[in-house]
Amino acid sequence: MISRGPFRAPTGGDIDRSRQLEFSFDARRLYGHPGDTLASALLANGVRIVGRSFKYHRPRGIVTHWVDEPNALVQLVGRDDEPNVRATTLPLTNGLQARSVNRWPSLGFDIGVLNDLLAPLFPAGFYYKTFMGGPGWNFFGPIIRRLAGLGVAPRRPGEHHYEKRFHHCDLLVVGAGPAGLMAALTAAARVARVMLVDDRREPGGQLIEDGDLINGVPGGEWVSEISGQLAERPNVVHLQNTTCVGYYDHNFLTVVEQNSSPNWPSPSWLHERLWKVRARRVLLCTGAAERPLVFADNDRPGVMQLQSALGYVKRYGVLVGRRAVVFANNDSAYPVVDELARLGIEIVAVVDVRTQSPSVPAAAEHLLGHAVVGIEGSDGLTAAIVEPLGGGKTRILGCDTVLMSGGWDPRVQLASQTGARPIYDAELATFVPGDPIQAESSAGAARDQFGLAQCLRDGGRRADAALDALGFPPAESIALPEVEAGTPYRTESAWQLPGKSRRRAFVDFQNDVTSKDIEQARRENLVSVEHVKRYTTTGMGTDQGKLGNINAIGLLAQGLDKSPGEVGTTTYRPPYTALSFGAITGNDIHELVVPARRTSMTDWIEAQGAQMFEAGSNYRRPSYFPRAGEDMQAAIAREARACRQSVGIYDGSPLGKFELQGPDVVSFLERIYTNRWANLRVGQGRFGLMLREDGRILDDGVTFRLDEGRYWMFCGTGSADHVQMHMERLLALEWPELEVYCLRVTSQWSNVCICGPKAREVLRAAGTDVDSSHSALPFMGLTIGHVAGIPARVARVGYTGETSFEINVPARQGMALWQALMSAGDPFDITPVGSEASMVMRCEKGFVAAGYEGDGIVNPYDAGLGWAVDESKPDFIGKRSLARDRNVGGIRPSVVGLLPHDTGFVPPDGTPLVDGPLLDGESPDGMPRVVGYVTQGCFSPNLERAIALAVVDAGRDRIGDEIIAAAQIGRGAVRVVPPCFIDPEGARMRGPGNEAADG
Amino acid sequence: MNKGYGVTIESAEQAGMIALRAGDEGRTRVAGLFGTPLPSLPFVACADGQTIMPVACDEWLIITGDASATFTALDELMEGHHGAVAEVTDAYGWFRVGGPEARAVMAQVVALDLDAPYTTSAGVTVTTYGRTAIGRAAGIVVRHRCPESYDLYVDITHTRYTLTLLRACAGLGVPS
Repeated sequence: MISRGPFRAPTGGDIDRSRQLEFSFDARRLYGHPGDTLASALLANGVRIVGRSFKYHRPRGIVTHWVDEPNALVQLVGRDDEPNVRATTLPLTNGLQARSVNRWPSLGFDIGVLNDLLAPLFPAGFYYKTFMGGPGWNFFGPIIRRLAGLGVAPRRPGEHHYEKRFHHCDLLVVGAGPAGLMAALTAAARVARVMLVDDRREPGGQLIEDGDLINGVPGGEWVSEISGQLAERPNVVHLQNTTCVGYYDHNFLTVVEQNSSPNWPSPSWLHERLWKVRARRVLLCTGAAERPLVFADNDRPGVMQLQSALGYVKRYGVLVGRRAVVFANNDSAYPVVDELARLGIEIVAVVDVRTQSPSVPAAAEHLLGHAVVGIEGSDGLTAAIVEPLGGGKTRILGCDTVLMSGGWDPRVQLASQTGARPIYDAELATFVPGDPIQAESSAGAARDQFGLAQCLRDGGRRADAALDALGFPPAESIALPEVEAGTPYRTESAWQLPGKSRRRAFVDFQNDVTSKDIEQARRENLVSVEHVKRYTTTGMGTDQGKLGNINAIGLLAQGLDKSPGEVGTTTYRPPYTALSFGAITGNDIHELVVPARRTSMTDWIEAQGAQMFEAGSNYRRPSYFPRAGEDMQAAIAREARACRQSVGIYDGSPLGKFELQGPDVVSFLERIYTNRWANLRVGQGRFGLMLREDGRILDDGVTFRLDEGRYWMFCGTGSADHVQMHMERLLALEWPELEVYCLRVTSQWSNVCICGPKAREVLRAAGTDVDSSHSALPFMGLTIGHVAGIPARVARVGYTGETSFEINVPARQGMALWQALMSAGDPFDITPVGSEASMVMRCEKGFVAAGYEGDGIVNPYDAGLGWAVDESKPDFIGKRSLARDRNVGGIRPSVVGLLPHDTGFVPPDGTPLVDGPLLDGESPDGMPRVVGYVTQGCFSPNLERAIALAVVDAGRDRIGDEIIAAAQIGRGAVRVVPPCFIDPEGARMRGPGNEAADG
Repeated sequence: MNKGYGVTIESAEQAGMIALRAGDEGRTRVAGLFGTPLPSLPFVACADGQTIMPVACDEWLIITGDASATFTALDELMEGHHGAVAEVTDAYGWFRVGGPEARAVMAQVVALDLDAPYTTSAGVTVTTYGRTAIGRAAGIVVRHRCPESYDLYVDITHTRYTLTLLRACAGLGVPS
């Protein structure tokens, strides 16, 4: 037998009563039906308290029936471990396990409720006033963070599958209520590409609840008919369970589709999909939200939005109570009252703040000019306390639910996200969308059209206007459906209502902000709504103030004696409603987090157990190759030693490479580099220094001349993108007269560098038709031939200060070359070298590196690279700035070497260098005088001592001085020396090397 | 149960590829060589067994069976003129995404409007989108009609990323 639940109506609702779903809430086993949400199932089972409030831990019940819900946030446990899930939007599934949050030890008995008793001590601004004093925020912060939060983040990876998808359309219609459906139908008839999204399980919006007739049939039937017509259109994408959460620049919108519908059109294995939509026009048919009324005890379980009460009956067959008091300030409440009475809820009374209103069901008392001023029953509502607004006799009306309707607020959030400021409509006592900034408009209730006939007409018209603007040819107009004339919407603002002195009236349920908090903020001279928001935290919860914002603005305006329009709204930002991290992330997880680049050798390198790192431009490169039992330092030392004593092998493929071609390449090179290029012969390379306009180092590298008009430029791995943009910008904008093109060929070439005294022997042993002798292939030479049978460009360059050959072969043959060289080098104990050892060797040689010594402050002269600057050239980028440096004078920094007294003391990169006289830690003014910093420190295995490079003020004039490296790991005295520790003449790198020995 | 989308993902080493950049004069000279104007987006030109795809306003990728011969011909043609030619056969990896749900996968991979109109050249009906983002890498995308399929030319250093991305978007998960 199917269990109904005590508050399940005998009939009605779009649920499958033939099937029963078992679920649990706080370990209590309960039952519902397919089609229920968790909230509807809880209400059907008579569960009134679903959580505790954030600050005061007051018991809270369900207030709404959709995304506006501030209270019913639950933690899913078990297979669906997830916090902050809104029970009002969560479809019920069999076996679902949920528990309440923000309570201890239980929902019924929560120690935190002491906060409620101490509420007078916790006014608005309590945190700011209290926790900045005394021990300070650093003390209180961690404690408060432990107490804060409404749920627990999952501890294990999710098992759901998410995806992100791009979509383009002519018209995006957000909301499939009457206006949205008419808009989509109109646009579809004009053969536009239409996307219609709606966050509900089924289309129709409020039409499903209100029961209006369209073309003489119930609204639900009309919705089905229109949905069927749209489904037949190939130019329409219609998605339910899909929420538009963000509206960004250039009509880019994000839309989250959830796999929670029986008619989910997407794969069953997909949990959520984030659509990234580019729409030429957008029509926002997002409807309107019913506003709560701010009266004393309005947060008690059992107080609910009036329209939501109807929604629970109509959509889920759930009675939210048996005896209701309705509290309203507008005419739209009255048809709902009639409908609820017809559906079996006893209406005890309708309390209206106004003095005139429509009639009420005969059995109900009609109290005009009255207000609810309190609620009896804290955990279970037993009565409403009512008083005349002008003062008079208090009455206590027995009931088990109070249903409130404070008027309607167009859902302007998405329109506001475009940057359009909402404007206040005094007649409607609410904000409506302002003038559009992007190619969008609002229609129906989202604008200001609250009647069904107006919504239908507005949807069609606005869609036509949007397509007219896009230039679509007119089509036969869609007949406007016939509807009964509805009750005109009239309302009267009711921001501040009377209440008993010790009872609080809540504005923001989720953040426990009361009307007194707003008033206090105003008294403390916070007159901007943005300041009041931050001071009181109203509108800052996960519901983003969907229910409370307008009331907060109204209260503030009243206190300031202004109109709400003068106060204005806060800034609405994406997302409109919370979305999962899974939807945001999609497939960008694990190895797809970074689009890592891999060379031909990366697989082999990883297989050797190399420690990898991201070396710029997303290349994964080896840091070092540890052998069994080796730590990092030992591995680096072994690799660096091998390069100096025998031969090392290094994957240089990631180095940026460009081919420059055209009649004006030489002119171009002369302008972008500091040295001369006109005299570079074919087959030769030259080091070039590329400066920014300010004379600082942008990049450096070697460029070879391949033939008369073809040059091959190398640059740093991480700076390749920047260098390319730099060159393209210069050619396109600064010097369009130069006939030069550059082609990026980085990935075409695998670059394998062998370096060390035995490098030439390895090259020869691998088999080559290249004459690698010093005379045929001198330093900075380039030749074309074959190595190991592979076509190759062989250059005699390197970054280690040793005899080096960089062998470039087509990328797919890189691994074959590598293996051939490894085999050929085996007798010489050829050693794969990572970037760490490479950096040690460049430090030993004093080679300047961009990003280290090239820190954006030093110029080439400071770096000791004056030899690469030819100021006799007519011009080059940065020349003027170099002249300015010289003319301004003063102390310039310069690159120097450092030798620590303690040969084992390696000053870390960035260590400040302090002047020598401060050995005792004192200076005349009590402050240490910093004269520079360490750019790289290392232990040199070849010198068997610590060394460092540094930038020091007037460093070259201080050779021999003692200064202090003031590292966090300790201080150490260092001696300033020239920045080259090994082979300062460069004979090993430039000379014939061991050619004679090679025979 | 995760069954993934109905797609096929092919990958193979392609025939030769040549990168070409040319100014107005160079363009005219190359058009003379191929017997067809260099196409602009979204058109593709096919001539003498070679496919010429625009990847930017002044840049083309030429798919050719004989990279060496094509390179030599173009290099000689452009010598002394405003243009650049380089063989880039090894710079690119190639994938083809086909099958009935190819679009469902491609819509996750590229931000392009996959409803853009096709063009027909020498009997081949395709749309080329030029250089674009493929996931978070760069590449070139070409769409074929009948049956709908997509060619992806990606930087060879991104082939593993691209394959992992395509498999993930096909619903086959991401290796952890």
